[in-house]
Amino acid sequence: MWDAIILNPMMNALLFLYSLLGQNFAISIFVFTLLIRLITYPLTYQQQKGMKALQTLQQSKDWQEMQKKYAKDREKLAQEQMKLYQKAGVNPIGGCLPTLVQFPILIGLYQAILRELAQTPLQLLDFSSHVYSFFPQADALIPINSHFLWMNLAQPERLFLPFLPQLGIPILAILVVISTYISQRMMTPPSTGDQAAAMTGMMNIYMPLLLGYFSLTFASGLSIYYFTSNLLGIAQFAAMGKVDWRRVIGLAPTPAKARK
Amino acid sequence: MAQLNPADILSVRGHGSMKNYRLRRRFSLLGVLALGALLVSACSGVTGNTSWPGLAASDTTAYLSFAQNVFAVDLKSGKELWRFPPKAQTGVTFYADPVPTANGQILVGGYNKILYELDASSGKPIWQSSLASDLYVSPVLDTAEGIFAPTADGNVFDLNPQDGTLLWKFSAQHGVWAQPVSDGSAIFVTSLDHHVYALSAASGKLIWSKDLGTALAGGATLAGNTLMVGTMDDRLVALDKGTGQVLWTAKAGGWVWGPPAVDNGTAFFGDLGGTLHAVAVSDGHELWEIQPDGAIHGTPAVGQGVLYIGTKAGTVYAVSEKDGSILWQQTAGGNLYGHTLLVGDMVLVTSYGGQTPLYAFSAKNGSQLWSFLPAK
Repeated sequence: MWDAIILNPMMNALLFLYSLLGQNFAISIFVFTLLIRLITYPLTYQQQKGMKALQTLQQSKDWQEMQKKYAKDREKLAQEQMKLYQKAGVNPIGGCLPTLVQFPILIGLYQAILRELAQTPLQLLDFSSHVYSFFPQADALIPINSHFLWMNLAQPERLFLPFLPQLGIPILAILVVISTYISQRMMTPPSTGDQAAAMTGMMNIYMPLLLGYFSLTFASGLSIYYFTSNLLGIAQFAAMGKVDWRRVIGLAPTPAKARK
Repeated sequence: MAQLNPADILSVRGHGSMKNYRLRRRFSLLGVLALGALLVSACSGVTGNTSWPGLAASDTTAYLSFAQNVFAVDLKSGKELWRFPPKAQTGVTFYADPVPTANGQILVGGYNKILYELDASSGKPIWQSSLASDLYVSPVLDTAEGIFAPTADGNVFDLNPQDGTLLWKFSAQHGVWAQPVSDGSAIFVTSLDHHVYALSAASGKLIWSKDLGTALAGGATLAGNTLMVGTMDDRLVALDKGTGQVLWTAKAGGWVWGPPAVDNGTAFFGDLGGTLHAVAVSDGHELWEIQPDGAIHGTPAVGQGVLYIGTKAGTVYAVSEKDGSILWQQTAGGNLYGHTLLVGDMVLVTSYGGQTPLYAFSAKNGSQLWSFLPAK
């Protein structure tokens, strides 16, 4: 089911782009990620709109006063929060469903990239079994040319400079960490409770580090996907309205800190 | 303050009646279940950096590359004689066929990008070469001119047999996944970059190259002046070994991965469409073809007028070289992607995903003699 609905169409679409774009797999990944972002834009828009509405509500005076008033009665606080959500027309879990729907698409994209960068005979056999029999000239396209600039997209990326021949610099991993951090800071709503703020803070640190670790150890084709996806996400969110860059780079206090 | 009902909480705009809410909840539940089923099915089928086991044999011992070790297995008993490395190491795996050398050693490259020479009697390393920047997928070629080691980074290294030092290297545009063949003065290399290369064995200088327009994952077979290569676009192509000119092309029913076996002027090869072919080496005309129960990936073993092949469906076949009639068939299990070996009156096959990685059958009647499962 997975292969027929998600994986095979994605792998063939990616291969088709590869054939159109001068057999450059890095550019194919970039364009394919862009197309997937465009196709899922209505879902992302809905999710980000909901998130922004939630952010606005949680920064409102009513919300802050309610937090102070019912600080010692959690049950009451929850009830009042629900009323406020209802009044503002905000669904606190409204961002989850679009994310859930996007999830298989993202997994499919991830798998398609990994499988097309076949490194072993078994992986190449697997790749060829996913290519549609009517795909024109597929035999001439496989295996994928995995070289781009100084990178082998099927291997972890390191840049060796002439004056530092022993030290490989993981450029892509660094870019992934920075872009994931900015993306996380931008898209997570400011937390209103101490516990929630701590959780959000941890996520903002651990997610970039986790993806940075993946970029250090896995095929650099995936790092190109992470980086492209982060950049497009940031651009999309910024295009929707005012981005609080002071909060993104940590200059503005979070609501939880501000209350103290 | 009035209690909030769930419909009010979950409704985006708060306009849903309880009936609508229940209906929507059912659809949401169905949607989440369908999504869950889709995601569960996504978890299967991703292959890591593994492959099918590699195999070689001397008169008394089988050498098996399988996951984290290379094993020496006694051919009489099917028992383990030694393993290298003695204890499994993280990041060190072997799938290329080991190569017994003329001076009694074993050469085997790993997915850790290192080529080892091992003592055949003990499995102790003699030297190792770290020249490669990618995997060793294929076996090396050991000749009097040197050790020719192809790698997935596209290089073919000529190494000094004494200590593994580099004599020369040749770089293709893509990986080299197959063992080169030699005629004594030249070696012939097939690459994923679609080319067949003829190189001087002494210097590595390019003599000729031929673009066949598709990936060449398997190797070549040399029969007299004819060099035969299987292609991904369902062909067996014969080239003149002196010039690289195409002599003839035989059409197959699928990707031809394993190079053909040759006996009595006939080339025998299988394809991933599941057909075993016999064609004349002289002009490529088809003598017979049969369809066993699955894709044929490896090269058949040939001996005393009989071909032995394994299929992806896990069956070993003994087939008459003369007319393709099936003499016996036996189930091993798993996928038999590797080459079949004939050692004396014993047929050896490796299995990917079977109960054990190595099976031995009687060449006469196909009865199973033993199977080898490494002890943990």
